[in-house]
Amino acid sequence: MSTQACKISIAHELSPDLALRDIATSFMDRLESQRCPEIILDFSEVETITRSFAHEYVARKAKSSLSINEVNVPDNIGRMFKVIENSEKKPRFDNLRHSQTIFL
Amino acid sequence: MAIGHPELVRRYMEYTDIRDKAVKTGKVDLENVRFLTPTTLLPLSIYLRRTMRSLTLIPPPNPNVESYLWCMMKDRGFDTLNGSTCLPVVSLPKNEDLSQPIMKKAYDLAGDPGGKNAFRYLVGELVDNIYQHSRFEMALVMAQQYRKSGVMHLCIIDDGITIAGSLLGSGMVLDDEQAIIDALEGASSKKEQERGRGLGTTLSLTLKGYRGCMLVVSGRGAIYCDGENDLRYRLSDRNKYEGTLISMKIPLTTEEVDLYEHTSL
Repeated sequence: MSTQACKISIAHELSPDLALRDIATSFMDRLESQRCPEIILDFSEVETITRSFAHEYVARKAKSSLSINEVNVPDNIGRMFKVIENSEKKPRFDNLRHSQTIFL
Repeated sequence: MAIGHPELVRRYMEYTDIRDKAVKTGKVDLENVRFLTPTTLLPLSIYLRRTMRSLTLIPPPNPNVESYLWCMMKDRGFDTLNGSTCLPVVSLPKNEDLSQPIMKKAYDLAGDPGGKNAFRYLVGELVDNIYQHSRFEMALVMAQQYRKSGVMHLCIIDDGITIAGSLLGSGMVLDDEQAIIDALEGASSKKEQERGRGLGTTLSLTLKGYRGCMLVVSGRGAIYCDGENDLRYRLSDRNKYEGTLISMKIPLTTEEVDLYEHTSL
């Protein structure tokens, strides 16, 4: 028996601007509930993405039993996924940390 | 007035001056206020919304500001903001599922300085912080363009538990200004390793990508950063904010700000 993949346009399902961690969470919950083991997520028409959304999506995808493949991923969106893969926490605001406290 | 401090700090102090006089006199006196920027207007709006029944408002001379304030104070004032096409303010709904059209309105009002990629990242991450951490009752976003001076003031505010309050929930006991700094460096009330990046990356993008400046006020703590100054403040009871206010000034640039080039996300 063959199973067909389900193709979903994420821009139409959510928004061209992918933001908010909880929106990513509830989207992934809906994908999980669809009983479609193979999903093709079409990122065409997606214009922007926040780090929080991307991180939640990547984390949920890693834990999911579904096979999820992204297609038509714009360059700027793909770069955010790479950021998530390669990130590390580094101190960035040393001057602020060591500045004298002003009482106001 | 906080003479000698950066403009965003002074604008915040304009609000605390008004509030302090209101506590002492029972009057919110705006008679001599000619001009209100978002950094003053947003905390004032939330304050009026909470206290108006027990205080007298002496309105400002500018009829536009006066009508705006009356709009904010009505029972459905914050809902009206989201229906209005001209006020540069949106009220965040408590139900996050309803937030997407509201955020779209904020983007449309602001006009995406620096391009959609960078600007919507700024707004999206700041709004996400409010939903993830603040437990707000009221939260507002305002994006005001000042074409003559070529800048945008972007201001976001909530009346929630403060940054230190959020970190306290996961066992971190910190002074308010230290909590802001730790949050900028990645501390989070959420346990996962990758959490806690939103505020720090937003500041980094504002400073390095936009070459703008940012003020964060939360509880008795505040920080201000621009290209040359990194200031940390401990606020008196008179000047504290019971919630979190984030205000930034960025240039009204049509040039694309590269979200990835200037920031270590």
